[in-house]
Parts: sequence; C-alpha cells; structure tokens
Amino acid sequence: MLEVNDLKVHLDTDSGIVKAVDGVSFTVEAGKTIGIVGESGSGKSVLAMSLTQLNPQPPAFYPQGEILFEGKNVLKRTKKDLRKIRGNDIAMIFQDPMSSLNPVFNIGDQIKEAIRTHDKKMSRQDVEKKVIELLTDVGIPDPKRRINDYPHQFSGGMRQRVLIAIALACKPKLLIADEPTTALDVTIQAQILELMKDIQKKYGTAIIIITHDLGVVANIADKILVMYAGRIVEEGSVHDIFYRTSMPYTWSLLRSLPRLDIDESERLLTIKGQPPDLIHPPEGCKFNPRCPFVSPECLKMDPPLTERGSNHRAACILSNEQFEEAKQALIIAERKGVHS
Amino acid sequence: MLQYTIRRFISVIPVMFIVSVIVFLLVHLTPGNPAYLILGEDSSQESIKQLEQQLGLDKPIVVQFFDWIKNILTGDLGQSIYSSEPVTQVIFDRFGPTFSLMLLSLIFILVISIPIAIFVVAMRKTILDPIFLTISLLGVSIPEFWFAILLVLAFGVTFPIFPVAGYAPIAEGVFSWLYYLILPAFVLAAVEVGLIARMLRDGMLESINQDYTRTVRAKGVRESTVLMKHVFANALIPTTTVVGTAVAGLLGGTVIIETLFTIPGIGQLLIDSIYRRDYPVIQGVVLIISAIYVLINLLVDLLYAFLDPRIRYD
Ligand SMILES: Nc1ncnc2c1ncn2[C@@H]1O[C@H](COP(=O)(O)OP(=O)(O)OP(=O)(O)O)[C@@H](O)[C@H]1O
Ligand code: SF4
Ligand SMILES: [Mg+2]
Repeated sequence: MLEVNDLKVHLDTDSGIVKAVDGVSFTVEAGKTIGIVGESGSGKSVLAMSLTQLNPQPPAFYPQGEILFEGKNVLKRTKKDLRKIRGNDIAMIFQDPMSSLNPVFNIGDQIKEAIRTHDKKMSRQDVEKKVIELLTDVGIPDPKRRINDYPHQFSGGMRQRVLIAIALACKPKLLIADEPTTALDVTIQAQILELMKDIQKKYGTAIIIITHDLGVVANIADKILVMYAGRIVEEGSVHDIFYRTSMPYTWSLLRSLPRLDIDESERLLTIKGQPPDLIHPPEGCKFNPRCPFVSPECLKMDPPLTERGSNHRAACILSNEQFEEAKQALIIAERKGVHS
Repeated sequence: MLQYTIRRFISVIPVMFIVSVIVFLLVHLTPGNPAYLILGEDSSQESIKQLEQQLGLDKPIVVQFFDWIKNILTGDLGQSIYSSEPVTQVIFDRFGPTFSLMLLSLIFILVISIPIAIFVVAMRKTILDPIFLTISLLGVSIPEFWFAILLVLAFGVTFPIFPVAGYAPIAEGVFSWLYYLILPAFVLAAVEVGLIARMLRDGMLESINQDYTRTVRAKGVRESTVLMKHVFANALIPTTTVVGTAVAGLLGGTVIIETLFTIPGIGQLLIDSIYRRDYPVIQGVVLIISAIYVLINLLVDLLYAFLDPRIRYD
C-alpha cells in the first residue's frame, strides 16, 4: 500500500543542510502496524510528515527518492491531490495533544471539519451522528454533551482521544502516530495504545507508530524499523529486534529500556555520547563515535542494510556471529568492572 | 459568559467613581479661584461672589463633592457658563460628529488592516513581508498631524476631491455625511492601520506554526481556510487588546482632527471650552470622555472573552 524508496528529506537551515532523512526505504502493508523507533533527533518526525508532505517547504526539500501510495508518487502530486490524501487516505496524530487542538473552536466543530473537508454532501444530522459515533469509538464518555466543549476542558489523554477521532473521521487507510503517548502519564499511555489496537481491529487501518521507546511498540507492531541519523539501521519483526538483535545501536536502545530482571545499577540509562550532527554527520558508519564495537573499518565505510534472516536486515559491518561474540566479551568485561 | 459580563460591569463602578473624584478635583486643584479665572482680572468682587454662588463654590468642599456625585447620578452636569444651556445638552449636541468620525475610522482601520495582514501572511515567503514591515514601521512613527496635513494638501488642495473642512449630519443624507468625513476619518485611521495590521500579522505568523495548525493541515483543509479561519481566529485574540487601545487613541485623535477639519464634535467643544474657561463643560466633557474610555475597555474585555473560550469558561 505504501512504499518508500530511498527517500531523502533535507532541511535548508541557516546553519547548513540538515540531512534529517537520508536514504530510507520501507513498505507498509494494509492493516499492518509498523513501529519506527529512534532517539530524539533521528529524523522520525520529519519522515512521518514527509509521507503527506506536511513539512513546511522551505526549509524541507526532497532531493531524492519516492513515496508510492497505492502506486502513485506522493512527491509528484499536485497540492489538490495532496489535500485529498491528507486526512482521507493518510491521517496523522501528533506528539503533543495539549497543543494540537485549536483552542478557539469546540471539539465538535474540529471533528466536523475533518469529515466535511472530504465529504461536502453529508447532511448536518449525519455529520452530527458521525461525530458522536467517533467520540464513542475513542472512548470519550458522554459524547453528546462534550461535543460543545473546548479543548481546554479536556485532559491530555482525552485530547489525544479527540485527535484520534479526528484522524479516524474519514476511515483512513493509513494512520501515522508520531509519539502519540510521549506526553502522557504511563497509565494513560497504556490506554491510548490499547485504543489504537482496538481501532485497528475495527477499522482495519494500517498504522505507523513512531516512538523513542521500544517498549511502546513491543506489543503492537508487526514490524519495527530502527532509525539512526536519518537512516534505517535495522528492521525486522518484534522478535528479531528483541531477541536476534543484529546492530549495536538497537542493542544499546534495548539496554536502555527499564527491565525487571536486571539490577538498576547495571542498567545503561542512556546511550553514551551525543546524537549525531545531521549537518556534518560522521564519516563511515554514523554510529561509530558512540559504538562500543567500533573498529577502524567502521570509519571508512557506511555499511548498507544486509539480510540477517527472513525479513530481518541490519546495517553493521559485523556479521551476526561476530556481533554475538563481541557482545559477550563486552558484557563479561562490564561485569568484571562492576565487581572489582 | 453572563456571569463574566456581570462581573466586568460591576468592576466598572469603582473605576467610574474614582474618575468622577478626579474630575471634581480638576476644578479644585487648579490654582486660583475658578470664578476669578472665568471672569477675568477686571471683574468686580460682586460678580465673582455671584458666580461662586451659581457654581456652588461657596459651600464647604465636602458638600460640593456630594452635590457633584448626586448630580452625576441624576444626569445633571450643571450649566454652561458660556451658553447657559445644560452641559448634558451641550455635549449631546456635539456627540454625533465625534461618534461618526470614530466609527468611520474604526471601519477604515478594520477594512484596511485585516486584508493587508492576511495578504502579507499568505505572501510571507516573498519580498513583500520585509516591505510591509518597513511601511508599517513608517506608519507607526509618522506624526498624526503631519500626515493629516499631507493628505489635506493632496486630496483637498492639489486634487480637490474632498472638502477639507466642515461636517454634514447624517440626517442630511448619508452621501454628504460620508463626503465630509472620509478624509478626516481616513487620517485618523491611518496612524492605527500600520499598528493593527502589524499586530495581526505577528499573531498570524505565531499561530501558523502551532501544532493545532498542523492538525488542521493534516485533515486536508485548504491553505486559505487554514489561514482565514484557524490562524486568523487565534490572531484576533492578541489583536483585540490593541484595537481597544487604538479606539481609545482615536478618542484622543479626534481632538486634533476635529480642530484641524473644523468638525463640531466633542474634541472641538473641549478646546473651545478651555478657551472660554467654561469649567462645567470642561468637567462634563472630561467625565464623558473618561466614561467612553472605560466603556471601550469593558467592550474589549467582553470581546476578548467572546473570542477566547479559555477566558469565557473560567
Ligand atoms: N523545521 C526545522 N528546521 C530545522 N531543523 C529541523 C526542523 N525540523 C526538524 N529539524 C531537525 O531535523 C532533525 C530531525 O528532527 P525530527 O523532528 O525528525 O526528530 P525526531 O526523531 O522526531 O525527534 P523527537 O523524538 O525529538 O521528536 C533534528 O536534528 C532537528 O533538529
Ligand atoms: S558498523 Fe561499526 S560502528 Fe557501526 S554499528 Fe557496526 S560496529 Fe558499530
Ligand atoms: Mg519527533
């Protein structure tokens, strides 16, 4: 349904060209869920918005690649065509529900607008009915009354539900959720993720869920893409990513997850070093300044994605076996360090 | 909203009380004896006594003050020394021209600055924006009377399209009313247009990059609707305050403009009364102007709440 080929999205800023997305390819199949995971600044949001060309141009521009939605290149569409895709075929929800609703219009009007934009003929009563239905679907209690309320009268979690209702208004084929739970409390996070699962079942929507937290996508994604410095560095099923990790960056991400079976003191809370400068990225493998397994080879060449199993690819010069050995050696060295 | 309105109305009472105290003190804090000032140096002791009696200046100041408040509440602002007419009548007669002038100016301000702001924002990535900024800065820094004289010269003398003096009441026909008012109202508006358009533009540019605007675009709404509905509605909130100050500024501006274009409004009445030392009328005019000022502020607050649900529902 969606096929992204070698896409580059760069941003022309005062300090230079930010290579926010720098050669990304992936596909999304109808009804499936893709998780895109990466640290802050790895280019996830820029990638997400580029799929419907929502990034303001300038600064954004598209030097290379294509985005095929149902066979047609989104990058070549007219403004009018793009408007027809947005909201209707591909809908988005964003990170910060507190600021993503217009404060001066009530939520009923904001949902109605989503319906009306793509269906001008629907009668007023039907639109009204549809809004109530959507609000019920996303779990807003007492929707008939709340339809006239303004965004500031809702909590963060409820606002995210409203935004999901807006996104679902035209039964999109693809829903892109850019860190939908990051700004919310842990319990609310779980509820919103649950809601997204239910929605997928009911509406059959494909979902791209973007997060910096592997834990968020562990239960919901069919496929995970790990992004680093504007590139995909590993992709595979949840099982591949968690148990057959083939790329040091993914491994570092996993180690930074809170876990019950590891003593807090042994946990790497964050990955050492700074996320890379996307204006002047490092030579060779972009992860090399921070990689515990770096070798002289890594400074010379930027490894491409290579097959690591069926539908499992990773970008690292180490083969799975070499990586396994290096990992063991590192863990042993760390243990010694801790105990001595 | 109703509760808010009532609350705001009640809060006007103490403000108006303080205003009336100040206006009262205006006469009593002026150095010298008002009666003496009014009648001039050569007046006789008797005529001064008589005028003091007429003005109530012979009574103790506390009594005078309570009389003053009582009279205001009953709508009695005293008598003009110059024409012996009731002050309320004198002011009422002059109200039409000033109100017309301000209304037309306000219409000019809105009708000119709103499209300019929207246009500039739509063209924000072009050279137009810096050009606009320069012009609006110029507009704000130009002195009102200088610009007025320039326009009078241009449209009254060089190309005599509009009259440069006088006033026709609306009762004599809308056309002649407009004909006389266009030039002064435009001059009065011109100074504020730059400021308001600038405020609107800034507000819109601020709102155009907000998360909620992105949500609207993601719905597939066309850019013109994004600008004119969502972005504009949000930009109106900060602009309202400035429009309020601008209208209050118009009130001050009318004094200059009415004198310049010889329009028989409140501003001219004030100037004339100062020359005539007609204290009751001066007091009345200052009181009325203050009341209008307070009223404008009240209206702005209500408009503010109407535009911003976050205030309305508090
Ligand atoms: N409008 C912009 N102008 C300039 N640089 C930008 C702009 N938007 C994003 N960037 C830069 O592009 C890079 C990728 O940003 P992006 O927002 O896609 O990261 P992200 O992975 O979504 O991070 P986060 O988890 O913080 O949302 C960052 O280095 C960021 O500074
Ligand atoms: S290529 Fe080298 S630097 Fe890059 S992840 Fe693999 S081992 Fe680390
Ligand atoms: Mg982001």
